[in-house]
Amino acid sequence: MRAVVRALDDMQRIPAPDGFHEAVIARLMLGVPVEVEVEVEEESHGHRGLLMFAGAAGVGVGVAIGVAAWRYIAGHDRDEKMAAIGSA
Amino acid sequence: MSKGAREDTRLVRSCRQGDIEAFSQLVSKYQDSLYGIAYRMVGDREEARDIAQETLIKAYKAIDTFDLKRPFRSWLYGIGTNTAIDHLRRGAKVNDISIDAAFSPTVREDGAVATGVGAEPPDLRADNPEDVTVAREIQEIVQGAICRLPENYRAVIVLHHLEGMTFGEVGKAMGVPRNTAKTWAHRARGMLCETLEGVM
Repeated sequence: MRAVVRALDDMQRIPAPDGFHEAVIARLMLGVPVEVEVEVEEESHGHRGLLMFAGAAGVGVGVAIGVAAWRYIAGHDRDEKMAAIGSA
Repeated sequence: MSKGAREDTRLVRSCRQGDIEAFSQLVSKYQDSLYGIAYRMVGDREEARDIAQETLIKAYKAIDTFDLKRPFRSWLYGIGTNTAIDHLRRGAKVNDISIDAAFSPTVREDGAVATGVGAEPPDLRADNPEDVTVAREIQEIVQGAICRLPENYRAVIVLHHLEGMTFGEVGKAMGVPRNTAKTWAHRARGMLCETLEGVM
């Protein structure tokens, strides 16, 4: 038993291989961009939503202007017709 | 708490604030120990490298769960031994080295006489080449015998004898009471004696 204990206590420590530290840090750094990418992706989702909202608002404003113009022109024609009928 | 442990705690606090340089310092401090523990448990350099790297990645990801009142070393070595045990249980290449194989000398490329044990031994510093060879052979034989122990016995032997941890520290690392760790070590040494009977 004593010889075994002595042999165990004499076991040499083995250093980590060359490049071990760099490999660990590289693996960690590889993990970080994944999270950043997720954030960027979420950000781009946000931009897309904002663009869609602006586009819809633009279309709405355009339609409103169109309707107003159409009503203005239609009303103008009607006034002219009424004036023509009145003069007749 | 020792100076080293206080320094670890400071580095862990920095890690939690996203300071990767702080974690890099912890890697530098513990990489040899973790690699050594993994190597002694699986008996294969490549597997040991993977296990030690996996341990550090796991530790980084779980750094927020670490209890700052505990020694970082015990926590980290606990992750290391558990990772090695999981690795062995998954049925990865287990280095079941026979003691007979340790007595089949072969000549390496560099001309040195080596035994048949698969794991390459560490470089030993000694003036007398014969002493180096004998010491190397003994280490290989013991390493082969350790690899035949049950996983938890291996972990206790490695942490206690190689890392010099007390049974209290080993128990904390492995999540078992101090006396359990002590019992495992006693049984493990008994098994090693039986395996190495007639060899040493």
